[in-house]
Amino acid sequence: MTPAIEARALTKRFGAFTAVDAVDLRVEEGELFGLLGPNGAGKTTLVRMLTGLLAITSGEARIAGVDVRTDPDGVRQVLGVVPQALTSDLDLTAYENMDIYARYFGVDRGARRVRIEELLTRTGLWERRKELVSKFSGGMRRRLEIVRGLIHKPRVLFLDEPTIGLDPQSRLVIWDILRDLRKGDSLTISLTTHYLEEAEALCGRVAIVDAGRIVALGTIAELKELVPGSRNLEDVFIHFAGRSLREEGAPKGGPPARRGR
Amino acid sequence: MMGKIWAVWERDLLRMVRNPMTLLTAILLPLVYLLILGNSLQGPLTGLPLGVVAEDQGPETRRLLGALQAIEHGPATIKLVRADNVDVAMHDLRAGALSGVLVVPPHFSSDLERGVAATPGLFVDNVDGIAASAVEFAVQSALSAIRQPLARYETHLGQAEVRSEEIYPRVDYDASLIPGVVVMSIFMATMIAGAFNMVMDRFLGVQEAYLSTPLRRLHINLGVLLSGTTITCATSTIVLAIGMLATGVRIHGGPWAYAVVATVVVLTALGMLAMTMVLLGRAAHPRIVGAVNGFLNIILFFPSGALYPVQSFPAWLRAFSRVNPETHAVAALKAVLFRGGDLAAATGHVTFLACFTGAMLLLSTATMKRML
Repeated sequence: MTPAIEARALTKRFGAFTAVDAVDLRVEEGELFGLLGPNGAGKTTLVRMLTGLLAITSGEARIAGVDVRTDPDGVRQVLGVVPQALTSDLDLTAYENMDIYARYFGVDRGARRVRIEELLTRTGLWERRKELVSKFSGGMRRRLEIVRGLIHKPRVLFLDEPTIGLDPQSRLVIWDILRDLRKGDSLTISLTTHYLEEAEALCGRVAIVDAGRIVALGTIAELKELVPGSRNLEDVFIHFAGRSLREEGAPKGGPPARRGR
Repeated sequence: MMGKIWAVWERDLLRMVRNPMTLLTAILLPLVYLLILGNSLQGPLTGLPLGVVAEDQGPETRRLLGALQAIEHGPATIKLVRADNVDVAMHDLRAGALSGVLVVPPHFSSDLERGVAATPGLFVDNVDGIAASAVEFAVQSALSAIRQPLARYETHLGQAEVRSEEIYPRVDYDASLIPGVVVMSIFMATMIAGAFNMVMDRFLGVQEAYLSTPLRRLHINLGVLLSGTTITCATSTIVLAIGMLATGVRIHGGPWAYAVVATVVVLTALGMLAMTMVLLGRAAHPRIVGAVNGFLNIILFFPSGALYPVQSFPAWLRAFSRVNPETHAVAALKAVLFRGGDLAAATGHVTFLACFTGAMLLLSTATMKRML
């Protein structure tokens, strides 16, 4: 079966700095896969290469069997991306945000209306579809952006820290949405997170990334077995990634730092 | 293809339309410019206060004062202020209350009558060179007048006279500013649209979301440029309409003249937006866009012929002016608005604008960064 995400010796260099170092990765269809790692480990750079947002220095990457290097438009058609920054347009309504994104993917008018109603209803935002997003809370915006990433029925959804900065209640709502998304269709989800309890609660398998390499990969149970005496994923994470602080942020010439708004 | 471009267009347009204060600024600023420039630089200087200290009361002094009063009541370049002594007048001059002080010396009349050179003193506030020159010219004129015989018919006999005819209806100074103000309104709108929106998206991280979609460079670039053109054309049309109403200027030449005005506005807007996209589309911070646009406004507007005739510029500035799109936009609008709808006079300028816009469209698409 064609893997949903596949990377072979995937590498990204910014000058002399290697942000992602020959990463091999295979995520099967329907998985909810977690990418963990300290700040500056290379998680976001890895995801940006997989989603065609950053040029690949060397190696190969395929999403749902489509080559990222040779067919970037084809890849963008089969994936959904929810970046870490809040990216919905504040001056547009929730419906307009959804509708305009659907048009970017070439979804026709009739299908758009049905799909938008279905997705907004699923996240409890249908009743507020005519409100400007500027009136939404952070949690509501995040819910909107997650379903906006699904407007074209992608096969793979990349979520970059979707619950960062949210209160516990909003976080639980997002978790429920993510669990719900996995039911019924074969959507593959790649979840980048700093919250280890989030990965433990949601992900089937996780990869721990450090210094641009995958230093551990497996189910939570498998990883715990690798670290004798570990009580939770945090113990495993500390074991593989260490306790020392990392240099944060991209090097000069690297991708721009993201800002919230 | 077009559906994706219109989606980008609609998003960009909605964001701008829902920020009416920004749009209002793009309309009001050029109009205020018209109001202030039209009233401050209009015609010759008038009402410059000239202090007069007459230390002589003879007939020639009275004639000189009469000649100065004639100027005060005629062209009104100066406004006479009688002063009792030189010290008080000089104090007022230094305080900025007077533009100049004329001191008529004690033996002015008798010296003139005896055929001896009589030199009145003129002190001018040369901080403002233009005002100083105008005062000097007015006093020279008055002095020349008292040296002329009263009956001068004989001096005109046999002389050639020039009678000037204006070939177009009279254009007041404030009306003559309209083409420049319209072009300025186009530039103001390009500052809040196009490249600015792209850079703001990048700065806020919003760009990452739509760069993950199948939109191509052409979709993004054309969508953003067309939404900017829509906004720019709307604001500059409002500015043009208000300017025409305020100054009484009309578009002559029928529907074709209107079509030429519309073409000039659309081409200028699209070309300027595409040019700023080429120059600023990769900037990382909106402040860079603001700073560079402020600079561009100066270097494009002043050499455009909107305020001063291009022909009077030094050679290097004339050369720059020839490739300045604003020069051609101003010239084309002047041809339609003030030359009685002379479309032939606008053709060359419209052709230049079309070529410039086409080149900028190609360049902006080619240089646009599709990845982060």
